[in-house]
Amino acid sequence: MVGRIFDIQRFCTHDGPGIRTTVFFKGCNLRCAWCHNPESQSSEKQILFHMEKCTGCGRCISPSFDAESFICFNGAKELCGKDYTADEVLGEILKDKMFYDNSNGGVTFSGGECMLQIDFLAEILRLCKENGIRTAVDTAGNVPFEYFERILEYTDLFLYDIKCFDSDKHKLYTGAGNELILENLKRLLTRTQGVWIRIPIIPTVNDTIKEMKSIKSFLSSCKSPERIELLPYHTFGESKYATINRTARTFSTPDQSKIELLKAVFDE
Amino acid sequence: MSNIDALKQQHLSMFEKKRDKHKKILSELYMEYISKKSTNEEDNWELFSNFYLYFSERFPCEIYENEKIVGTNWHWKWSTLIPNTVTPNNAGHFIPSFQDFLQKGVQEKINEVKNLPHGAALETCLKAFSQYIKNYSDTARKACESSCGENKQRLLNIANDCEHISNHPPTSFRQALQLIWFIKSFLDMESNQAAISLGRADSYLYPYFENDIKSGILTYEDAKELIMCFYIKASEGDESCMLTVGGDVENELTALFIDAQTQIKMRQPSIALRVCRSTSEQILSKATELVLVGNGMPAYFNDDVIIKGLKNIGINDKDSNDYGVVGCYEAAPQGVFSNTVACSFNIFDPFSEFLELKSEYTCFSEFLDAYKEHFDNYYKNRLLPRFKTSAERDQALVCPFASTLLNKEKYIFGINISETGILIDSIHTIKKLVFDEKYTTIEYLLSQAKNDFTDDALYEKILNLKSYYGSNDKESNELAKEITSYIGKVIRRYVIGDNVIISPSLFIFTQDIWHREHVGMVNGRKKGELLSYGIMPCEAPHSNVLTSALLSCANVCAEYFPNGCPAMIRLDNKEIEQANILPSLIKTFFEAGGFHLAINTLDAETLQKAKEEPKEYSDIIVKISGYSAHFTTLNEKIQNAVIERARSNSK
Repeated sequence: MVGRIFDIQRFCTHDGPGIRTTVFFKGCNLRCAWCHNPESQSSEKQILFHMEKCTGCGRCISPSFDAESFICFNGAKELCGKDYTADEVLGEILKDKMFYDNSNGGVTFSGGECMLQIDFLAEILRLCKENGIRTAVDTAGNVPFEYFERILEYTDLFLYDIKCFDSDKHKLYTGAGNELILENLKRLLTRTQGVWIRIPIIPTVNDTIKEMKSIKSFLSSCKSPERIELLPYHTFGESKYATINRTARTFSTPDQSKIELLKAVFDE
Repeated sequence: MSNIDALKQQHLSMFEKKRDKHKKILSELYMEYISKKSTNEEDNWELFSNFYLYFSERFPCEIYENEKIVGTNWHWKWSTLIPNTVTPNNAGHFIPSFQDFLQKGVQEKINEVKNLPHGAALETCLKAFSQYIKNYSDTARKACESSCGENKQRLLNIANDCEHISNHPPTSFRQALQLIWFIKSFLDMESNQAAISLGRADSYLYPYFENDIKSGILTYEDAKELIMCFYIKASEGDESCMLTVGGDVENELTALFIDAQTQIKMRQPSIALRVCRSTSEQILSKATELVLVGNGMPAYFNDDVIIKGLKNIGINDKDSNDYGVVGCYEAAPQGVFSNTVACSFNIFDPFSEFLELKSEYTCFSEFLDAYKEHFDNYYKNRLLPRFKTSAERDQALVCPFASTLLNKEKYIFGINISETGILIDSIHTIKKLVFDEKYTTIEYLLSQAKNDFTDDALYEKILNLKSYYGSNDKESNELAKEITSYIGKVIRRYVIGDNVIISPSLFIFTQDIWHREHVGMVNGRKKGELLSYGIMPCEAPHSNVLTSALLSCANVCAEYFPNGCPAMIRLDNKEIEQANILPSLIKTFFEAGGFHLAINTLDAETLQKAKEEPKEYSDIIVKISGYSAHFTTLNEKIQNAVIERARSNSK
């Protein structure tokens, strides 16, 4: 069994507590208009092309070109998506074990939607627990609840997105309604305390007090999560669209005072 | 604006002018003094001591508005203004024995030095020092007459403090701090070398602080303000001065010395924090706040490794345990005659020479043994004679004032070595490609390195290597250990004088920047790409992951190199602000055997803007090697290297 991974980033400090390694799974069943990892959406391997770095050296159009082992010296072409065995991923994760232990950190499985590769995810989570590594799963929750049941035992923390509360709007901006997502979250919270709710703040989509209040009122009908985080939209992902020959849909970035205002809804 | 902010503003607006003026005053007084000498019979010790006396009687004594610590920062390069004259001396890069001087006071020191070699000169020199301080007392007292209120009280305090410490041991924290500053500035006046450092200030100043707090004449806030005044004085000059805090003596002053720098954000002194098992969470979190200021402070030092290293080179237990940090990042005992940057060599030179021999080897161990033998001969025959000459010359240096503050029975001779990262990686690359995979020959690799790797297949092969120095795999780690311990042992094997202790380090100040046009290296680094710095892996051809790079570094046998094994990294403030990230990063690196960690936080974009609009960014302070400087005052070559490094370290 292999997992299709498009990046393994070490020394991550923003997806869960402490110093972490984040493993990015390729493939997603949502198409969020503001996605900052567009190369993660397709479950197929892709070759990213950074046109501005290409010097036209021609090495990549030679007959001996092999996408799997090719290294572009200028960094213009890179392969996105590589199949790993669970042991290979574990090997990467274990490299920073000392840092996790001292910082209360660990590994985060993200994506794309890592839950779509549930067999592989369950396997690597089990291996991590066997090796004494704290685990987190970053998910949008748009999967059958039995997937959660399969990994609950090996997952210390869920990073769970709520993108917006109104299902029609959710469908408009992500390609899917949110009934299953909210239902899963409610059920998940009855089974574990280790959930951080993460709300991306996208101007013109969900950056209103009203939106936050709806989410808050939904959450108050659930068992309480460990933490609620607001993630302001950023444009760092914008340049990635060109590498897969797509055009980014851009939003304005929310200012800090707005974020504080929205945050305050949850602190009331 | 508070008084302390006003003092800082006043400093920033005029420090360059002041520095140039003071350099000029000193050189002119010296020329005037020399021209009045009728004969050349006097020995140099007396010549200089008499100059100090001449100087103390004539220098313009300036006390600025709001200053609570007084005394001009005499600039260490003044003698460069004197044409065709033998410069006074080159003693520098050491820590004077402040504690001893504070306890005894000027008068007792005068009685003591009479019996030392050049006793008469040392006595004259201390008398000049006493006179120097007395002038500040007189000037302050005179200024009292025309002032009133708080300002009058300030001047009166200065007058009384200076009068007292011009002869006697200090009795208060303020007096002790003032005397430290006078000693430091008088040493800078004498020296034409840099980096005379402040040692463990939270240790030797603590009794005065504790006493004043108990008796109610000092509050924590007062103490912090005095320390900030001291930092402003220390920033008038242009050299690299370290102040060491923490370790086994950690106390309330440790926090105050760190907090003061977080608040006042001065260029000098650089703060070195000793980290040991008993270092408190509180101090680490205060240190994190200082890191967030972005000045590259504090530098973190690992007591376990450093103390062991100092004992290894023959420093006694007491002095090893009580070490301080000199200049950029050299650990050295306090109060012992030393020059931590006495000599240097590039470790890649003997290796390049060795590769040119083009001998045949049947296996890797044969190759490595031949290299070791070559290095041993190179060190013994080519470097050692140079070191011997240098050490003899250094010991004969004329430095009367420094001599009153140093134990000169032993001389610590610092040898700085650069390019360790590239050496380890190059040997590793040869092992993989030539011996393990038999993919190429040393000769071909070498010719390709000189031609910047025109052979794409070979270059791709190098880039595809899974293990390299910096990847924290077992093989390259073992090699790092083996090579550095061997170099350490060779250096220890040879003696260069009965009372000379060699203290090696794995860095040369800014060498990586000046020598980047050096031809390609067999590890795949091309001409013009950055060289490795300190014990860090090279930034080309492989890109490093921070955590692996640090753990690789920790495999270098730092206990052979107590004179410094710097690892420098760049982090974003956003990363550091995440609770506990920095303390756990440091803890992990030090548990693994790391020696020293320095953290820069400025990003490449900000630095680029600062380069283009220097006026807007004149307050940005960066560390180049271990030395702190205003970024906008650096020359373009250094600025570019700092920017590039910030870029290559970003994720």
